[in-house]
Amino acid sequence: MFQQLITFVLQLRADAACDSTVLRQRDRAIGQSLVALRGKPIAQLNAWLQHVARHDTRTLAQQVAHARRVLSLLVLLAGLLAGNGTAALVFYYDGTQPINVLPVLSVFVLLPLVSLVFLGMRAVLGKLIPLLLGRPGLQPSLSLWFAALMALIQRLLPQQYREAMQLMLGWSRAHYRLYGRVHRWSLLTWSQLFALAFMLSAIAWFVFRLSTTDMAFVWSTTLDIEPQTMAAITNSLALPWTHLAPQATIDLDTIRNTRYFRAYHRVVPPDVQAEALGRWWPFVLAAMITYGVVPRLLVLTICLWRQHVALRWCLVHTPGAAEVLDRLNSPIVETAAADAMPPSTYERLTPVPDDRAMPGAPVLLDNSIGSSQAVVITWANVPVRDSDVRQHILQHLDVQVTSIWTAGGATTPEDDQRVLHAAAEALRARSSTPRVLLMLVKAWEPPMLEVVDFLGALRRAIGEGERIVVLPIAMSSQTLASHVYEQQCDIWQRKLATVGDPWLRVQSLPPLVAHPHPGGEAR
Amino acid sequence: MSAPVFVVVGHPNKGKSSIVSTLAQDDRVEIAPDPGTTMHSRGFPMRVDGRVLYTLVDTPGFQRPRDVLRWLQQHETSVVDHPTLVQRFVEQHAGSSLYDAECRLLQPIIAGGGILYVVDGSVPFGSEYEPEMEILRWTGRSSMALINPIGQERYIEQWEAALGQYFKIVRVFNAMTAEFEKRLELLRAFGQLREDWRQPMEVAVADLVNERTRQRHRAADAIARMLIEMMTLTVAKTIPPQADAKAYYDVLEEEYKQKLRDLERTSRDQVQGIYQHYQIQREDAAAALVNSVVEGDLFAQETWRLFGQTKWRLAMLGAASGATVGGIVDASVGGASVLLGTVLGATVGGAMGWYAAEWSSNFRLLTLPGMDVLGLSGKCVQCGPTTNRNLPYVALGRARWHHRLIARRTHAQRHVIRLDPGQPQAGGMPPLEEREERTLEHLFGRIRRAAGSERVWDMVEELRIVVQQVLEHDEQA
Repeated sequence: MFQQLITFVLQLRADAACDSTVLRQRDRAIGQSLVALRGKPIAQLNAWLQHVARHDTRTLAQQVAHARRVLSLLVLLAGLLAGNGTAALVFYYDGTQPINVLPVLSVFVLLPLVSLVFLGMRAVLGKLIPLLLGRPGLQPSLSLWFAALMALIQRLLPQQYREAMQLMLGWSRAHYRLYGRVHRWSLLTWSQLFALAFMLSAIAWFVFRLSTTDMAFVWSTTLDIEPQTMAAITNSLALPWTHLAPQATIDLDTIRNTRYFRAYHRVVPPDVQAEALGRWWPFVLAAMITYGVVPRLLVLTICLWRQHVALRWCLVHTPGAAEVLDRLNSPIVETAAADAMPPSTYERLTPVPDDRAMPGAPVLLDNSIGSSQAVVITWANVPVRDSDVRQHILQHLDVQVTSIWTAGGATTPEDDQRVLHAAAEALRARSSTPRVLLMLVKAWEPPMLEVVDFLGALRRAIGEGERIVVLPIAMSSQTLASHVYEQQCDIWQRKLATVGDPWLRVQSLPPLVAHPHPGGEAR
Repeated sequence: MSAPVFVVVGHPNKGKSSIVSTLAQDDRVEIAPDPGTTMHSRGFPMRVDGRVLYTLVDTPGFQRPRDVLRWLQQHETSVVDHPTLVQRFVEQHAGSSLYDAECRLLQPIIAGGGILYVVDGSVPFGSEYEPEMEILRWTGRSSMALINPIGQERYIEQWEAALGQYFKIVRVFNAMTAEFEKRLELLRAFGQLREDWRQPMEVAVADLVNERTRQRHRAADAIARMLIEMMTLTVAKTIPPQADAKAYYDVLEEEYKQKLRDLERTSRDQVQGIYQHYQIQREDAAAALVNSVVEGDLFAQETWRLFGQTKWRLAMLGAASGATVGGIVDASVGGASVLLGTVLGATVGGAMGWYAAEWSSNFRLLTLPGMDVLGLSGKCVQCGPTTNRNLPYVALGRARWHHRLIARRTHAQRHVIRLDPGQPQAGGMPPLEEREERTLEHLFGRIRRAAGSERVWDMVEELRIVVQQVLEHDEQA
């Protein structure tokens, strides 16, 4: 499970660099093949991992898991060595002095019992402290302690494992609140593994010594303890196995006979048969197994189980897991374009450059067309009266309109041809004042290619050198905001810049007061 | 049976791409004021697990409709042949630059697509539209007209009168402001174009509604996780054994606040991604939204005034929460405490609410016994988790506001997110309902108590459910 969690975390990291659409499609395809696992998130995530985990991810996860196993092995080894060393000290017997069972019981029975009590208290307090104090309990300190310990231990690991561990420690530290449960149960598992190895090693040493040496056991204390009290203690301790192994209990006579005082200076107390000194070992062995091994085994099993549960919990709660499950279980609803965006699109998303600065582009005119005469063509039935057009142009451009023609819109292309020729004729008519061709267009309508076509035809009809001024016109009744109008003029200007006509200009005019003209015929 | 295809056609710059962008929820559709921005027809299929339910086709605008119509009229033999004639026109002129736009927009219609003719209702009808509508009539396909008022809705009636002569169905649809329900209505209306399109469009609408629910679910999840992260955030720094911890407070506090800001930013990015608003991020990076409260600093005084709870409100919520706990104690002793538990709980809770309203950083000095033996420093200064009761409300308020902007924003909109200064407090956000407020206060309390423990993640789902309800109410408001 640990390796799966690592693989999962690494896979999520790898996925973070991928496109979300690709991930959604990949995972949904997997999700559809896992319909039977619906409602089982852990099973789904495991199955998902089987599908997506890459070789390098698996390898790295294997290394991390391997490093963790190496750590467990080190802990086991340390426990074995510690147990062996402690047993060698506690069961030291050279034939000159008997072995006092009280230190033996203190180290191999009392100590494990006390540590188990502490463990229980820690578990209870861990839940009570936040409730009582309204603030976190020991968890942050424990997690920091765990991280510090792991940082220290990983220095001892070979290079390949060290790097893998560093990676995971970094991740684990960044999400210590999430992985706190795993940290706690990992620490407890290792502590129980250590304790179990310690006890098993001690028992192994004890059995070895029993088999190879005739050991003498007594009980001795400076305190004033009566044999009856000692018997009560041993009987209480022996309760779990009294019926199973009655030979591993100690009777009062043995306790009386094996009390040892400092004045004896010999192995066998006076008036005691040497055989009585060997009666203690079954009791000691049973006590070590019962209070040293069995509870540890039980707690270790619980820790392993809880660690497994914590790892499963982490798998589902790891940041990104909910998204994976969502991708597996939710249908993909796509509404965006099927094809990839054309590369030019991104370029066009950037602001359009100001064409006025471009060489050859038409520029807004100054008053240079003033004091001249104009032939006017209104394009696409600009809905204004001729009189209004004349007045407006005279007022704002100081230009006398000699004739007005209509083209575009609902008129036919043949009508347009007639307008072209008529306008060209009017423009060529002899006059003392210079003439200009003004073309009124609706500012609110964008320039289409048929306008560009018409302007091209117009140029061919009137010849080069004659000025054509396009006037995008807005009407006050439309209440077009001035900036909108400017934007519309810019659009016209940019479009007509593509014509490449150096005598073609675009000029803005103030909005025209509208008196809609019902017709669209040429005048 | 093939899925329905809807071809969006019209004059240049009348919002065809905006409509497609809004309906396809794709903010990468190119929208620009210059005519001819859309140069190719582009399909936007709605797919559920790969199965196409319908397709929208964005097309270039008409450029030379009068010439096309003249060609058609010149070659006309009988009314019956109109569709065939349009097809012949496209076959003859496909690939020519002269009628490139017309060929591209007519091709999907000839292939069987329904017509969605788009006009701008903010400008007057003009006779130059008539050739376009006539050409579309010649195709003989099912059609609908959409009036998309790009500015003020000044000429709607005029357009309805004109379009009614060419199209059986005429609808007004503002691509910029259309909320989700409006979009669904329009899609249902598409189903009315042909009898055999009704059912697939109903299925499509149902799938979109389900997807919308999932999006809200995902957004609520992102916000709930952000809130929990914020409330339980700690920043720790290992310091030398002899160092004065207070010397590190300022640096640590700034780092702490920055991490809170980062959490908010990440959550917002997630929400924007959930609703497929990808362009906003680019705008965020470029735009300096100094005056916007949404983009304003999380710790700005104005932000707390707009989105946070008042001291009195927090005191009342604290009192209510405390009274509940005290009431449980009273009940457990069978009333022997003469409601002392309730009174005491309310007093303590109220006082805590009052005093914990203002922002203040919470520092702790952790000592790790035995570390010096291992050659490591045993002292660690930790900032957080915060005891401030207002922070989750401020963060939630800002997240709600941001979510509402994003959820309501159509994909045709290209402007930056901005708080309308004319809007009332907190951008007109509806206040939390009493029940929601109580549930949130209770949950926030539990999260605060579980801060530092992995148990907080068990509360994500509970918080997500409440946040989702709040978001639903916000959208409906």
